[in-house]
Amino acid sequence: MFFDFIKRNSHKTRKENGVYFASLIISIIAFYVILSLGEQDVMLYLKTVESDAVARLLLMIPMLYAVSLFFVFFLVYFANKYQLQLRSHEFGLYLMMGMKRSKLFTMIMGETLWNGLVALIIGYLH
Amino acid sequence: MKISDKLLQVKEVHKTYGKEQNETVALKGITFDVLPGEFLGIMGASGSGKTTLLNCIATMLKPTSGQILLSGKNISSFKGSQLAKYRGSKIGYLFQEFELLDNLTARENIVLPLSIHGENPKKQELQLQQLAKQFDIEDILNKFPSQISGGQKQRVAAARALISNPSIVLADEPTGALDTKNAKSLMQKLSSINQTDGATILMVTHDANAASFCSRILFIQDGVIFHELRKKVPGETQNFFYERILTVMAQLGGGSSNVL
Repeated sequence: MFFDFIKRNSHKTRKENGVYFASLIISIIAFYVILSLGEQDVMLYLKTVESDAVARLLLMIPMLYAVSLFFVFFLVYFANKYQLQLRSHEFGLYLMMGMKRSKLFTMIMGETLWNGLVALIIGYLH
Repeated sequence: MKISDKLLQVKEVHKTYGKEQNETVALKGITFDVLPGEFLGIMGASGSGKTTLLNCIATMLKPTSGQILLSGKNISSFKGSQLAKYRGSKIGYLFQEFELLDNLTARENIVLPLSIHGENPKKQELQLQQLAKQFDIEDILNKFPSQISGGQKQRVAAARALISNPSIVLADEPTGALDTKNAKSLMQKLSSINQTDGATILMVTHDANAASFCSRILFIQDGVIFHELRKKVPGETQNFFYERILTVMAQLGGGSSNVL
């Protein structure tokens, strides 16, 4: 029952917050595109033509990396925070019906892990 | 009468919201007892502190001072798993806005308090069927909350509050979001459960109609108990009790001295 509950809750979360998940996916894709900029064919070709300029551009990558990591971090942070805030009422209800705090924590973690697993499978299949 | 005979004792409970300049006093020392099997109503104008009092008993709020004892145990001293156990098995809570979970069916909503405690819901099937019959919700057990009416939702919520056999059921304006017909049917069902199964119910309301089902009513005004009414059993009809409630309610606002 408990696991079934977790599964159903996370399904509901995915269904109702598609926009947030989509924006997360896009930002993570963008993050990895920037990360792999140095190894892309276009850049390798440009390097042979304009090695000076490209080398200078590639020098800036660590900075870009840091900035985009910063954004992704806050996006994930606020998306999760928003999620929890939206459901604080529901969590209060669980506590009111006698759920222990540790069990509530396990439940939220379980939902997040389940969602992560689904995301991983989607990512792997693509 | 022995102390152990009293189910719930509320002793000199004070509750203050905010600090220093923004202080609002909600409860100014409330003392009363609840006996097992009682159907106690608490009435008062909005802002009189009745919901605060109920939330203190439900451990949603901590009283600033004073004690609340359930079967002789001080509930404001509970912590952690003891508190979870108290909430899960000693009290049942009935909300004004039902508070059913949308992604669970009526049946799952009712047994949720049991499954939270890791009990096998199959074991409670008999009790579930019995409660469903009492509240007339047998044919909607497999429906989701969005598919059933407000009156049915509140009856499902009432079954959920009673499934764990709590010592006391706390109801915060259970008829507040219902129309008169559904409100009446809910109150009749609660009152029959109170009479046949001896469930103790503590209900906050400002609806005189709903209150007329109670066996005793406390009137609260400005954080103190203003008056107490007791239904004369046997003999007093509900209609007559209703009239008496209305008379007290007319006095609540200050009576004729406040008429402009």
